Amino acid sequence: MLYLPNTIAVFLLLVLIWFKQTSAHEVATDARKHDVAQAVFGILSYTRWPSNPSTLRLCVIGPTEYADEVLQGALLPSDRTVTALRISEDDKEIATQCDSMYVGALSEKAWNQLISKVAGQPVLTISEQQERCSSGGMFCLSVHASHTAFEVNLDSVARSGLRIHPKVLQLARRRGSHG
Amino acid sequence: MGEPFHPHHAPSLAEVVCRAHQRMAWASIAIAGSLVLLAGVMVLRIYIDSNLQLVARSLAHNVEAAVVFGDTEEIHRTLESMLPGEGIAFARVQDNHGQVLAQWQPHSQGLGVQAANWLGQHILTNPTYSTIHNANHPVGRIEIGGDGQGLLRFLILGMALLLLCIACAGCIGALLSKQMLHAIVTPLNELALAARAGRYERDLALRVQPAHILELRTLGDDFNSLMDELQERHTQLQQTNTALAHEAGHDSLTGLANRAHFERRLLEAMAQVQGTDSTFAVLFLDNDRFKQVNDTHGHEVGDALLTEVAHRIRSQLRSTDLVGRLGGDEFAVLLQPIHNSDDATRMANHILQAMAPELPIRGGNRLQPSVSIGIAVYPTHGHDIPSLLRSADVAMYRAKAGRRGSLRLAEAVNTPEKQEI
Repeated sequence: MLYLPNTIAVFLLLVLIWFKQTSAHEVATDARKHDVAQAVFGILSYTRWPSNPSTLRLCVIGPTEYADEVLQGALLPSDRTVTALRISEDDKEIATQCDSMYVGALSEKAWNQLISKVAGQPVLTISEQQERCSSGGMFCLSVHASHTAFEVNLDSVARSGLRIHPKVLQLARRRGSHG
Repeated sequence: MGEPFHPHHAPSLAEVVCRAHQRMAWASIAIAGSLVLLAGVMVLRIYIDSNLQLVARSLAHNVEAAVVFGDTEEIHRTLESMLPGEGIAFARVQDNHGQVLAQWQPHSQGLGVQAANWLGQHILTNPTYSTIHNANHPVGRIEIGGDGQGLLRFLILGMALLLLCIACAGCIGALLSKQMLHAIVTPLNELALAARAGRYERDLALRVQPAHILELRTLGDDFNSLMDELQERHTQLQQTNTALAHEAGHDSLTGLANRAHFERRLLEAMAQVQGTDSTFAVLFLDNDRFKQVNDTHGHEVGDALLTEVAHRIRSQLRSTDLVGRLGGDEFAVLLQPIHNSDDATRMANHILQAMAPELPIRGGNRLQPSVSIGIAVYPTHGHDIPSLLRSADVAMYRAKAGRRGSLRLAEAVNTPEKQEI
């Protein structure tokens, strides 16, 4: 009984530390989500679709870590609206339902299946996983505490028939060379 | 020109004109140069402002994607690669909410840079803004300020050129004024020279040449006429003076020297013979029976007789000798130079012989001129003028007492004191 106050104090301290760490972590995560959203909407705003849709459908696929703000959608400077919706990677109509895809952590098999569905279609793919750019992905984010970088796979972009503004490619290439 | 004749330090015409020319040249160049410089600054300002606009716009274009992606690192990189050497003092990139994404400033901050920045802040349109567009929608803003280095360079170069121009203008002004002065000063100097010659050397014969400039030519002509008149008057005055001087020293009846003149000449003669082996003699001549002639035939005949006697005496003398009328019927002769009393006696004899012809007068009458002569030789018969004259006078009276129309040599004296009679 004599130890009780001490025990409680230690417990409270631990709780406090945990809470503080959690809140700090949450703040950091929020900033990353914001950075990711900015990068995603930036890429979208510099991309031209052959059909030039006035509303861009952004499909969020798989377990995503930073998609919260992306899911809120946006109004791009070019007066195009981005509407985001979660969709299953097994959806048959992905190629027609989506103008772009934000892909979370998928297994390599699931990823390959997804890519094969949209192959040759004007669907922009942005992956949270950096390594996907070497297997058919177009833009691959690498999220850091201070900033969010991205790589681009020009072959995939060229095959899709989408047009990406060179300014974005310039930003991406530099990131790519930095690793 | 004329150094000894300027008691005050009055500036010469050359200095005044040269200074005026230089000042005029300086002033005109300075005014014109300043206006050109001002115009240059204004034009340059327009160009620099439009250049700033261009830089701002191209910067906006280049950072567009980076601003959209919020990539501050890329914005910094773009600023760093684009702005150095473009005359930019600072640059700022803001997003749509006014949040500053990146700032840039040149690294060097020397005194020149500060002066240039000051110029840029006060003369250029600072800062210049340009909006960053993404698909015609503003996503941010560029704000840049120009440094005034171009302006500073222009101003320094302009000032240097202006100073050079002013210096050149001063030299050219001095040269031109020298040319102009030649046309003015030469005739003036000539005038001054002629006036000075007239004043100090009584040389009124100098005339000035006609000058190139109308006013100076008129002045020269007037001066020449004035000099003509002066010369004429001067000649007249000299003639009058000579006549007056002659009158003062001569007897009006016979034209012979008067007593004062004669004694003056005696003094001169005394001074001249000092230290030479020649000497001089004084003859005293008195007309015999002159009072009688005057009483018998009247003063006119007396005067005529005196004139004739004077003429005859003079005709026997050399040009260096002098005849004087001391008063009444008394004459005196200065014989100079002579070597001894024999010379004097011989010449006195010549005078006596010259009296031999009779003088015809009114009514068919004739007069026999006759003089008695006393001779005194310096210094045998007197060491000073009064004693010499006295000796001659005494000798003359002795001659007259002996026989009229004769001559007598004075008696020698040993010392001036013993001459007292």
